[in-house]
Amino acid sequence: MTTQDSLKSTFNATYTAEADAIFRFCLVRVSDREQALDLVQETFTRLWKTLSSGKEMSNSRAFLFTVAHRLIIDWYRKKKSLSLESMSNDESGESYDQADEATMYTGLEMGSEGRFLLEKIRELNPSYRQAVYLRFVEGLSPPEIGDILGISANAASVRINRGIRELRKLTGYDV
Amino acid sequence: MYKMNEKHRVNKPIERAIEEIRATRMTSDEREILRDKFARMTTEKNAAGTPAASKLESPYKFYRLWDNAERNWPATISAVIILLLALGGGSVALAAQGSLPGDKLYAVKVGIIEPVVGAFRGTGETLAMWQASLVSARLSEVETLASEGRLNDEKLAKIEVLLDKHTAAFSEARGRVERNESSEKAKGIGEGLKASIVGHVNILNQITVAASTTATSSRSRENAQAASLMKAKAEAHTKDVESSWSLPSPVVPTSGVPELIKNNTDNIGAPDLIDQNPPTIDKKDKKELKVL
Repeated sequence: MTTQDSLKSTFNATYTAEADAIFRFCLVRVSDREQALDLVQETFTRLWKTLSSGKEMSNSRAFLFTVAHRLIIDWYRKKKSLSLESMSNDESGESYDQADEATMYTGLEMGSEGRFLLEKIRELNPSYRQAVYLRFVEGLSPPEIGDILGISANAASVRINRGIRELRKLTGYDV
Repeated sequence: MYKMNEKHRVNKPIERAIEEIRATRMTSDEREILRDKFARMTTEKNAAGTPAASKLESPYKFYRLWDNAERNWPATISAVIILLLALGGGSVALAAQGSLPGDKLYAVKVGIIEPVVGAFRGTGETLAMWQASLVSARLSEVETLASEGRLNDEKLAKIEVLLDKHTAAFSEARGRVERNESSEKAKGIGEGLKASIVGHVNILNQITVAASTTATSSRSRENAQAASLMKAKAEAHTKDVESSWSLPSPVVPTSGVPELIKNNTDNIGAPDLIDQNPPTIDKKDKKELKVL
């Protein structure tokens, strides 16, 4: 098997395993199926570019979520035509979603329990939302979540725990 | 995936909720469409031998365009202004085409449109012919105004200035043709303009006769006088197409015009082109002349 074949095999296996999770992650945040598919396409295109450039990749799952997360932030910034000034003050991407993702988790076809949980996650403090979603729904570990959100594993753990406490109050679940 | 453990124990409702959220997936069609695209992407290679990942169209194409426009706003504004001018200017140019001296758009026609068009006509024969066509256009304007009874000294003076300008440019271009190409070709260009002026003399002759015979008010008399004056000048130019139009001309009577024409036809070089006995013009003929 040539290197190219090996790369293709890795890419196809990753696509089969992670495409739905990445699609879901995009869809619940942009609430637009076509746009979510575009984001999935771009995310996996970046994966292929990285693989084919010969770079080492220890955790392709975390890589995909990281890319998708940044693409979504970029998409919101461009969609809302934020001023360059506000963008320059927001290099971390932390404050983008408070207003921009006002329509998050709406318009999706799913059961009432799932919809209820997504709505409550949306009501969380913005800095907890993604950490809680990635931990609960996608089952990622705190270090992986830290990589995706650009924070340390400890900071990710803190956000997850605080988010869970807040979610418990909002849902009444014994989380 | 999330697993229940001692620290994060979940109860039934939240398990169901998570399962419902995880049930959100791509359809099999969507998955296969993307798989096909990726299959092409991972198979094709570009000229450099690296995978052709960039062949997939970015989902941000539109936003990137907007973003670039936003960052480079001076160029964007300039482009928008040029576009608006092109769109708006096109309709103004169209409206100005049929304007006459005294109309608001006439200045646009003779001050902007014609010089711009002329700038693309080179310096030789094409330019000479373009200037000759402008001389003809000015004479046509005189004819239209005169047939409508709207010609007066003021408009005539404006047209004479323009005629001088066109004639000077014509002479210059024709001179270049004579120097750089051949005197025969230059002579042919001059003959073309002369024939055109002769044609206008015929028309002006008819208009002048009609205007002088029906002139009752001071305005219509001024119109007839101005038309007659221009006809006399046009006749003079059939002898020398490059002479000035604004030089003083002998006073031309508004009556006895046919005799005047007859007396001068021997000298214009194209007597057969001038109608010796112009017919009288009724209202219907005037309308047709307007079309000319």
